[in-house]
Amino acid sequence: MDNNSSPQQTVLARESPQVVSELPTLGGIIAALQAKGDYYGLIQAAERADLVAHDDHLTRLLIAVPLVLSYLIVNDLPSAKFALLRIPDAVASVPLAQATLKLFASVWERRYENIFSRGEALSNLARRADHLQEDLAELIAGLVGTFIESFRQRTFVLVSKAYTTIPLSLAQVYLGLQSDHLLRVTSSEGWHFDAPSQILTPVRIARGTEPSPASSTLLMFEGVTDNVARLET
Amino acid sequence: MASDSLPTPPSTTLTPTPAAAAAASGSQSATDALTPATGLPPVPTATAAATAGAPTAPPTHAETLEGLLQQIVASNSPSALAGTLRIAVGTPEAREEVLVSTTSTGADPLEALDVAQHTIGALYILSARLTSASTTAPAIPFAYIDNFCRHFDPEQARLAPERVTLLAKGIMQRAEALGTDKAAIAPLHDLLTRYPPDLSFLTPIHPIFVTTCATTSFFTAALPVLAVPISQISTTLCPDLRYQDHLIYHYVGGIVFTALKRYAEAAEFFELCASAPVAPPTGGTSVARGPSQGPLGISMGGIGIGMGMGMMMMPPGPGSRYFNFSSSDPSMFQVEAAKKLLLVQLILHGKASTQALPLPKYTHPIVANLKGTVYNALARVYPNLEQVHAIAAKEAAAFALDDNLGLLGLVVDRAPRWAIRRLTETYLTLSLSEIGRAAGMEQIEEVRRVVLSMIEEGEIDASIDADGSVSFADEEPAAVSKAETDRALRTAQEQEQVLRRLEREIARSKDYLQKAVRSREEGSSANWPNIEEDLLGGSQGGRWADEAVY
Repeated sequence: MDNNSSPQQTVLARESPQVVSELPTLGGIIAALQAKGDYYGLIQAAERADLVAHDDHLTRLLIAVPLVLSYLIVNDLPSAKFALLRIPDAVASVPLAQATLKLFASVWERRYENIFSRGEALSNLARRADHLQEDLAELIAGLVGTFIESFRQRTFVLVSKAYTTIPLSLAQVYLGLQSDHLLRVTSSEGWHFDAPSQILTPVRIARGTEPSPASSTLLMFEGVTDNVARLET
Repeated sequence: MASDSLPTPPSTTLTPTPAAAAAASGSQSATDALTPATGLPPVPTATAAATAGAPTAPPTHAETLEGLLQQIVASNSPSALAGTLRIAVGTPEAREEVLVSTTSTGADPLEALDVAQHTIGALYILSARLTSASTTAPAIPFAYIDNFCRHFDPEQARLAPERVTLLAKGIMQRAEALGTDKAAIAPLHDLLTRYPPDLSFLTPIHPIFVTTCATTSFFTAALPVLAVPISQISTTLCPDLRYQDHLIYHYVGGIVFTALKRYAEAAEFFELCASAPVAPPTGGTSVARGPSQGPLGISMGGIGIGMGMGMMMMPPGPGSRYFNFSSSDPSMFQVEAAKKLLLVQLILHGKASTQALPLPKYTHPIVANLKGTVYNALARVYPNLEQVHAIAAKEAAAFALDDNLGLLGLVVDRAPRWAIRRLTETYLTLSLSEIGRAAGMEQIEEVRRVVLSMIEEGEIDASIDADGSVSFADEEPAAVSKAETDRALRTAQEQEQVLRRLEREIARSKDYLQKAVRSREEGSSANWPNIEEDLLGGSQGGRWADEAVY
C-alpha cells in the first residue's frame, strides 16, 4: 500500500489567481464530457487546452491530470505517458502530479498490487486539496473511479481468459477486492470456488466469443470480386 | 485569447501618406502607367523615383508599404495581386524590408486587412514579419497567427505557395523564440489541413508539423495527419517542395509511431523513407547545414522521449550528409530509417529484414545493405538473450552514435517475450520457473507478469494453473465481427478507388505519355518496364531539387 502524501500537503501551493479564473470554463467542459462518458472528447478538449497552457502554470497540471486519467480509461498508455512527461519540472513535484505519476507507473508496469491503492490515494488527495475547487476535486475523483472500474473490468476478463484455476489471494491482488466481495462477484459470474484449497475456477472466456460474421450479401460479394478483378488487370 | 488578436478595422481607416496617395492616384510621372495585372497604380520605388529624376527623396518604406496596402485593399483579383506582390518593390530583399515596416503613422499594416478577404496581402506581410531579423517590426501576437491560420482563404493562399511555406517556418521560428514550441502546433495544423485540397497532397508544411509535434512530445497531435497516406505530389500546389520533405516526413512519422508503440505503422513509415527512390545529382546544389540545425533549418535537439526512448529527430553526424545532392548516394535519412526499421522489426516480429522481411527490391543497395553493422549482428542473434545482452553491452557506443540507444533498450526488453514465444512452438506445457530459465528471468512473479501481459496483448494463447504451470495452445484465428468485416471491405474499396484514380492520372500525365510514345517510337518493348522507374528517379527528378526559392 502507498502512503504518498501527508494531510498537510496541499495541491495548489503555488496557485495563482489566474488559474482559478480559467478553471471553471475548462473544468465545466471536461465535467460535461465526463458526465456523458465521452472520454475521447475529453481527451481532445484537454489536448487542445494543453497546447496553449503556460508552462509555468498549474493550469497545465489541472489539464494534464484529467487527460492522463482519460487516457488510462481508454487504455492508451503511451499517450498517457507523454501527457505526463509534458508536465513542466516546476509543476511535476506537486503532490497531485506525483500521485498521478505513481498511479500511471503501476499501470504501465502492471503492478496490480499497487494500482488500486494508488488510485484511492489520488482520489483522496484531490478531495483533500485545500485550494482545489470542489467540482474539480470531484471531477478528478470521478475520473479515478471510472478508471479503476474499467481497469477492474478489463482485468476480470483477462483473468478469466488467462487462468484455468487461480488462488483466491492472487485474484484479490489482480482485482483489488476483499475476499468476501470478490467471492460474491465471481459467484455471480459463474466461477467455482473450492473453499478447502482456496482456489477459484474462472469461467473461461474463449477468444472468438463474438458472433461469427453473418453471411455476406450478394452485393458485398460483387463488390469484392469487382475490386479484385480491377486490381489484377 | 481573442483579446490578443489584432483588431480588424475597416480598410477605410487607412490614411495614405501624400506620397502613397500620389502613387495611388497615379499622378507621379514615373508611375503614370497602371500595373497591367491589377489595373492599379504601381507601387513607388526608390529606383522608379530616381529614374524619373524626381526632385524629392525616394519614398520611404512606410510610404511604399502604404502604396502596397492600397493595392491589396482595392484589388478584386487575387491572382493579379499575387503576381504584383511577387515582383513588387524591385528586389525580393527590398520587398521584405517594406513588408516588415509600419505605416507612416506607426500603425500595423495587418490592422487594415481582413484575413479572409485579403489573404494574399496578409500572407505576404505575416510571413515576412515572422521570418524577418528586423527588431523594429511590431510583434505579432500568437492569437493573430492562430486567427489567420483558421480563417485564411485557401484559394488565395494557393496563389502564393512559397509564402505559405515561409509562413509555416516563421510560425515555428516565432514559437521557438518565445520558448513555447508547442504553440506552433495548432496554427500549423490549421495551415496544413486547410491549405492543400486534402491531406493526401504532400506539402512542405508536413515535415515541419510532424517535427514540431515530435520535438514537443505532442505525438498524438500528429496522428490525424499521419493517418492519411501521401498519394499526391503536386509541384503546382507546392513548387518549393523538396525531395527531402518526403523523407523527413516519413522518417519523423516513423519516430512518432514508435514513441506511441504503434510499431506496425512505424515500420511502414521507416520503410517508405528507406526505400524511396534516390534523388539524382542536381549539379552542385548541395546544401550544407551544421549538425545543430535540422533538415528544415529548425533547431532540433534530442526529443527526450523518455522511458528508454531517447531518439534524435535528426540523424546523427554532420548535417551536410543529409543534403548532399551532388551525387546519387541516398540521403542519410534513408540509411538511418533503415537502421530504425530493423530495430522496430525486431520488436514487432522478433526478426528483421536481413532475415525474413526484406526491404522492397527497388531500395537503394547502400540503404538495404546493413551487413557488417552492429544492427545486422543484433538481428542475427535475436532473441538469444545472452548474445543480445552481450552485443547491446559491447556495441552500446555504436548504437548511441546513431541515437538508437533508447530504441535498442526496447528491443532488448522485448527479447524475453520473443524467447517465450518460441517456446510455444516446441512445448505444450511448462512451469513458470522453466519459462523463467528460458527467458532469463529469476523471479517467478516477474515471469507470471510477463506471461499474463503476453496473453493480454494477444502475443500467445496460453492458460495458467494455480500451481504455476502454463499450457500453450495453438493460436486461434482472430474472431472478426460482421461490422469489422464490413469496415475492412469498405476500406479496401476506398483504397481500390484511390488506386484506380491514381492509375488514371498517371496514364494521362504528360511525363508518362512522353515516355510511352518515345518507347514505342524506339520500338523497344523492353523499355516499357522502366518507364515508371525513370519517372520516379530519372530525368524528371530535377523537379525535386533543393532549390532556394528566395
